[in-house]
Amino acid sequence: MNNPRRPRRLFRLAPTRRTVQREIDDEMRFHLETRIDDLVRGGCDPAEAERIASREFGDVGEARVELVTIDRRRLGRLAVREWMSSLGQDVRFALRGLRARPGFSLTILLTLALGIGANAAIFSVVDAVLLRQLPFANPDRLVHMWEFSSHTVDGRSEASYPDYLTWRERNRVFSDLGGYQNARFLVGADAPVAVNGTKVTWNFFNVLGVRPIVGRTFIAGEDDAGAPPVIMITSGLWERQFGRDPAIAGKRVMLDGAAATIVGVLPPDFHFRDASSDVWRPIDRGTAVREQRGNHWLNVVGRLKSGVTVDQARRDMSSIMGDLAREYPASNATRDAEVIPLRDELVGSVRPLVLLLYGAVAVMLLVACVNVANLLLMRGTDRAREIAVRAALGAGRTRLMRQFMTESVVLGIVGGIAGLLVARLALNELLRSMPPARLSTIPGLSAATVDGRVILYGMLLSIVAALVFGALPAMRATRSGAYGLVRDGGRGASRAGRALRDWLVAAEIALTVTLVCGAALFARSLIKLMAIEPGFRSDHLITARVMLPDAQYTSPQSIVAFYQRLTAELHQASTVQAVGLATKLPLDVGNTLSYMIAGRPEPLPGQAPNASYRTVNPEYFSALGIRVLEGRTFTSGDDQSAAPVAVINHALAAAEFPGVDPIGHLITGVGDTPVRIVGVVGDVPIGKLEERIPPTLYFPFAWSPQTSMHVAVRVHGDPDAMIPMLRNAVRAVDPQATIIRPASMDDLLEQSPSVFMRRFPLMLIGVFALVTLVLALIGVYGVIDYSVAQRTREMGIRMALGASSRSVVSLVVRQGVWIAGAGVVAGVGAALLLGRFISGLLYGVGAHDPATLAAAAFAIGIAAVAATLLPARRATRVDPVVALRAD
Amino acid sequence: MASSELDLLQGTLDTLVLKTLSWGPRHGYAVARWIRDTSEGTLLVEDRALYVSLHRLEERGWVQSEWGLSENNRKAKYYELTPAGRRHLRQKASDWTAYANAVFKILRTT
Repeated sequence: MNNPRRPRRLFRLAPTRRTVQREIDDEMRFHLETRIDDLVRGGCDPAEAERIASREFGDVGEARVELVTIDRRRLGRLAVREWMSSLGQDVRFALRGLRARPGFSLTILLTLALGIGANAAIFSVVDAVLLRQLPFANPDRLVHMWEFSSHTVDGRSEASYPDYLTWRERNRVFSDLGGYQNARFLVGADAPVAVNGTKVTWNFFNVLGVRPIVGRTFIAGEDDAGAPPVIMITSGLWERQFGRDPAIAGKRVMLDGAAATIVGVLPPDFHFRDASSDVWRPIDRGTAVREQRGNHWLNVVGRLKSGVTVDQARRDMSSIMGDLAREYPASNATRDAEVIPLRDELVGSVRPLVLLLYGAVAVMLLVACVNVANLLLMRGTDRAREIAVRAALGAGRTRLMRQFMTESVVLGIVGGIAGLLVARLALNELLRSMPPARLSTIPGLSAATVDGRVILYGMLLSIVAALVFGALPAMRATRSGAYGLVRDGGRGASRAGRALRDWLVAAEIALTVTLVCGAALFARSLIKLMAIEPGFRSDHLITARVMLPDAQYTSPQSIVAFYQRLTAELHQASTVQAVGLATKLPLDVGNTLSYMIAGRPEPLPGQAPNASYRTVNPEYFSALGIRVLEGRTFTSGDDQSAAPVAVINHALAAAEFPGVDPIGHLITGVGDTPVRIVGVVGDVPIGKLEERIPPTLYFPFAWSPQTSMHVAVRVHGDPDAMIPMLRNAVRAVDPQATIIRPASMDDLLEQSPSVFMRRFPLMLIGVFALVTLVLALIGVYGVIDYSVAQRTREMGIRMALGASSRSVVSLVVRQGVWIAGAGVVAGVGAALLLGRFISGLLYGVGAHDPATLAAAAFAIGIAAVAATLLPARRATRVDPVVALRAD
Repeated sequence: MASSELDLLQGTLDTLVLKTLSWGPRHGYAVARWIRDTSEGTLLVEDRALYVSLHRLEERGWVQSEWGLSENNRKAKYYELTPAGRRHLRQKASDWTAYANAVFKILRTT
């Protein structure tokens, strides 16, 4: 018996969902008609036979519905199963194809791994810094507050304690306000270690909505002046120092030379402002400071009542500040308050940088995709014969498309997995290359990892990428015209196909130009920045902050004595040239004060000029190499017994004494007695390197000594090698003292936000731009090389007819010039359009700087044309005879 | 109760249909005639239920169907046991025999 199934299976002619109904009708009709025939043949009247058959069968309509349902369900499942099994087939086929061409596959996988890897690495940063919620309850309702005044050096400042109390009392928009202040503590009894910390008002954690994992947070009264010291520690410190001791609450530790009680442990995901802040304690300023309305030192955060907007809060705060200006004109006349969402305060400054990097890796991935698409397009042409054969054997276009897309998705996923490994490495490298001071102050960044979210993102990204780079080649390879290629042996790569690849490569060049322009702009910024004359010599300078246990250094004499012995100790070493001491080093914003010049009309309340100030020792200016312009600097005689003196910087001299010799003038309003100006020194940047240098006042250290000073030691030889010497000297003078953050001045300069915010993007975008450039050049080389190979016969004929090598080269190079030219023009256009997004991050160079853009565009254009030379030379070596036989 | 009786009926009918197909491919009409004739009219099943049974068995993968030519030279849908269907029939048949034997044993005791 013949088996009617076989051909059907061979041709996959299973009933479709549409034909089910017809088949069931046929089946039932056959049954009924055969039954009637049988009955009639048995001698039954036809009408009677029909009735009998119908009765025996039952309700035909119902049967039909029931059977259709069953069959549709069966076919549906069958289709899914088939789809899955043919997908498996496609995947196996794709993997076999990849293994068969290892060079081709590796090129693609490497390209994708780089593109997806860089993208996933930066995404993990975007996720950690910008996407994740701050680790507080309802973080969207948290705001940060600043006071600002047009008469202070940097415009905005912290709140004074009385202002903070008034805000808390009078506002109608916040459920509560809390304050904090950065601090450093010496922890431990003998040989204490310095740790970063924060001082907070007692209710600070309640405002943030942070619950301790052990013990409690602070309670009212613990931040009163003179209250016994209590601290909370981070879970990191709890783990490192106390081995997660569950009975930690109630234990005592030495803090700045006095015993403090640990009351609780903060949750593991807690971080605020500085991720390295490990010890939290209530604010401990004295009563006097807490009563000064003009002393600004408290940072304030607030929690908005539900339903209150930031704008409403701003209006409420402004009206309170207006009242305060009337009530306390001396301190508040020109002051207002600023309210910004806490998230903006914490990540606002890095958001453009992170987004810029994300944009750069997106461009890089796009170029990678275009490159892969190009490779697949070329291979698609080479595979035209295979496709034609499969089409002739009955594979429909959809089926072929699916085969192609499966190959792309397999490539994408394998590339994506490799990319995630790349991302892990890249992210570790990225975090390691960041200065710790920058890393810990970008919220959430130090916790960035390639976690489940990033893996999910990477996998989705690779599938999307696969669809992007796979769609065009799949459509092109399977379009109906391609089937005709079986005739001419698949050699007739169409003109249209070549044009498409040319366009794609031009697009790659355009994208590369935008990235290289970006990198070049940052490079220019950095060069300009480094060319700034900082006003001091940063070389051969080792710096650190000295920490003294406050509790043991209560008198000014003891502090002065300590630093005198430290200076003497350091001078023992022959490598030490000068030992500078200062409350703040350059590039470190210090406190400001308002001052007046004796003998001048009294300014209006709150309008007294404002200056930055530092307290320094006599050697400070020579140690830093700050030029003395006029008069003298300090001597060891400028102590508390002598008449108070000050040194001013050039900016202050220019502002207050234009054309007048400032030496001998008296400054008032900065202390109990007038201070005599004895010298003028050169300007040194106070905050950022590129910012205008504000008026600055220097006071002698011996006149108002402070426990924690910065040292800046000028040495012979490598400053980094002197760090142990400095640490030992401090310990030798007092074993309870220590140093923190030792670093050479050059490193400090390098790690300062000004330099970092240019060098870091330059470094990353530079790497991305380089990779992108290589990809684009490979793309150019690839299409030209391929088109030369395709035109072997044409070249051969030209050569045979007497064309010179020169003309053949120029024929090939001309194609490259067109591609590069179109790409460069489009790229510069895109760079001009995108420029405004980075203009805020640049220094000393406009985002549309013609010289920079032209140089970048020119360099890439030349590189692209150069990439065509190799294939062009190959074209000239075509042997006409071989070429004509090339089939 | 009514539904479990129906289930039983359906299950029984399925087994009978499988049995009918155990000698080779047949179309639905032949299956119906065979059950009607062999049971000598004891089992009165609507043909409709029979077709539901056939299609359901096909859905479960116990039978497969193909279009072929009938004895009277017409297009008819033939059903054939699959190896899985044959195994299922063997299982059902032995279950039935054991069940019937048990019932008989109880009924014979007086």
